[in-house]
Amino acid sequence: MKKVPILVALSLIVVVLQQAVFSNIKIFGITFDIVFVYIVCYSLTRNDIESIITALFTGVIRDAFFPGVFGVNTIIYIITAYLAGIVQKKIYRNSIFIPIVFTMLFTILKDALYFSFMYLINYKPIAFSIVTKVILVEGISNSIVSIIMYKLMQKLNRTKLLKEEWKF
Amino acid sequence: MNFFKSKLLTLVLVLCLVFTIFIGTTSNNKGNVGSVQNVITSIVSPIQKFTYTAGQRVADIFRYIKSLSELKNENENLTSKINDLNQKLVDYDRLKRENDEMNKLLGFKNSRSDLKFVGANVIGKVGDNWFDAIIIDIGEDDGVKKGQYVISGNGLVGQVIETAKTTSKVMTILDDKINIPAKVSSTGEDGIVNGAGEGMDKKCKINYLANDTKTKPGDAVVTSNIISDDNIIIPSNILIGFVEKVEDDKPNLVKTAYVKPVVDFSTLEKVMLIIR
Repeated sequence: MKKVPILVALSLIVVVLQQAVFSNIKIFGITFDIVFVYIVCYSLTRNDIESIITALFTGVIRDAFFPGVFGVNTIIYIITAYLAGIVQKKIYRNSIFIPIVFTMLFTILKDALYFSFMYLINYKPIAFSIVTKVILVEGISNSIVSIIMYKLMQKLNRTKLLKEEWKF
Repeated sequence: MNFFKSKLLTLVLVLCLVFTIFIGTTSNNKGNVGSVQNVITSIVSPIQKFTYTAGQRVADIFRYIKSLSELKNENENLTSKINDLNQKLVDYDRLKRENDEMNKLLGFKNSRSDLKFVGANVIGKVGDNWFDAIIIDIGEDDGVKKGQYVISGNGLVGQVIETAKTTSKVMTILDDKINIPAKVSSTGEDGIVNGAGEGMDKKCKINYLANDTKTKPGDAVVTSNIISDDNIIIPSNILIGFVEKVEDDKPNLVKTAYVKPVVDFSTLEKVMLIIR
């Protein structure tokens, strides 16, 4: 149970860094999302229940700061964590293409979900051209960030505190 | 743990349902406010504040390096501008003296003196790529109310949309959901300002100008107090930006003017709220 405070602190740091620092860095006017990359990489490297709880925790913090609606981020993070949890049992985790490909795919899913939620609750009209641009740019920049994040997660998982024991 | 493993899909679906209900209840006019949000924002915002300031310092270094190459051009531009401005200054002094005397005669008070300001720090940007919102470090405890205007040194930043105990969310004028009553300073025409454009060239636009409008590029757009609210004060004549181009809004038989805001949103650190 020692790993709980570490993982809580890690999630907090990622959210704060995203909101304070990385939201100012714009590539073609679009920011990348390290919180989302963190959720994807987390779910691809650790077990599924843990990653869903982390997604829930991180999503609630993110949503508390989100303008207008509460819950969109949490739902997207939980769905991502669940799907990535299914995927991670069937793949060879050491390949570098794993985070790149799956971050890209999940980013597309995320932006599509955002768009559909905003459309359904009619909170704010978003032009379709903007959505495609966001998906394209954010997908690519998230994939690049995911390489670094994945390496970091793998390193963290090898440390004594967070190492998972083999169960047979 | 085994119980969770077998019921994982159920757990995910239940959580999704719960949060969908949350979305439904918060997406009405009430907004994303509540005790959970209060607790979380109160805990996270102090850390956020430090990180934001630190991030801005690092960004300053990069901006400085980038600006070195542009210095020469800028210098030439500024020198010519100074010459222009010096000429205008002569006129200004004369006009100001005249104006002061006239005002005294009429018994006018300076309309700005009744406004009160409270300062705040920007501690983060939120809303992903879908919203243009910032968080500031003062909230209900400091007397912040929904709808109050937020300004930076030289112009309008946006409007408070949600308040927590110690933080508030401010929607900036680059967001297309914000609707600020405004007027074109030179012609006095009223309109509504909201965000426009995407990506790099985010700016705002003033809608619903008359079809035969005399608005031209370079005109200043300022806020207007055409609406009133009992709880907050809606100030007039706060600079929003300058008109870049005027376009037809075809199906509606009105014109839309695109406005370049005077506030630089990428380097925003200190803002002021207008309270009563």
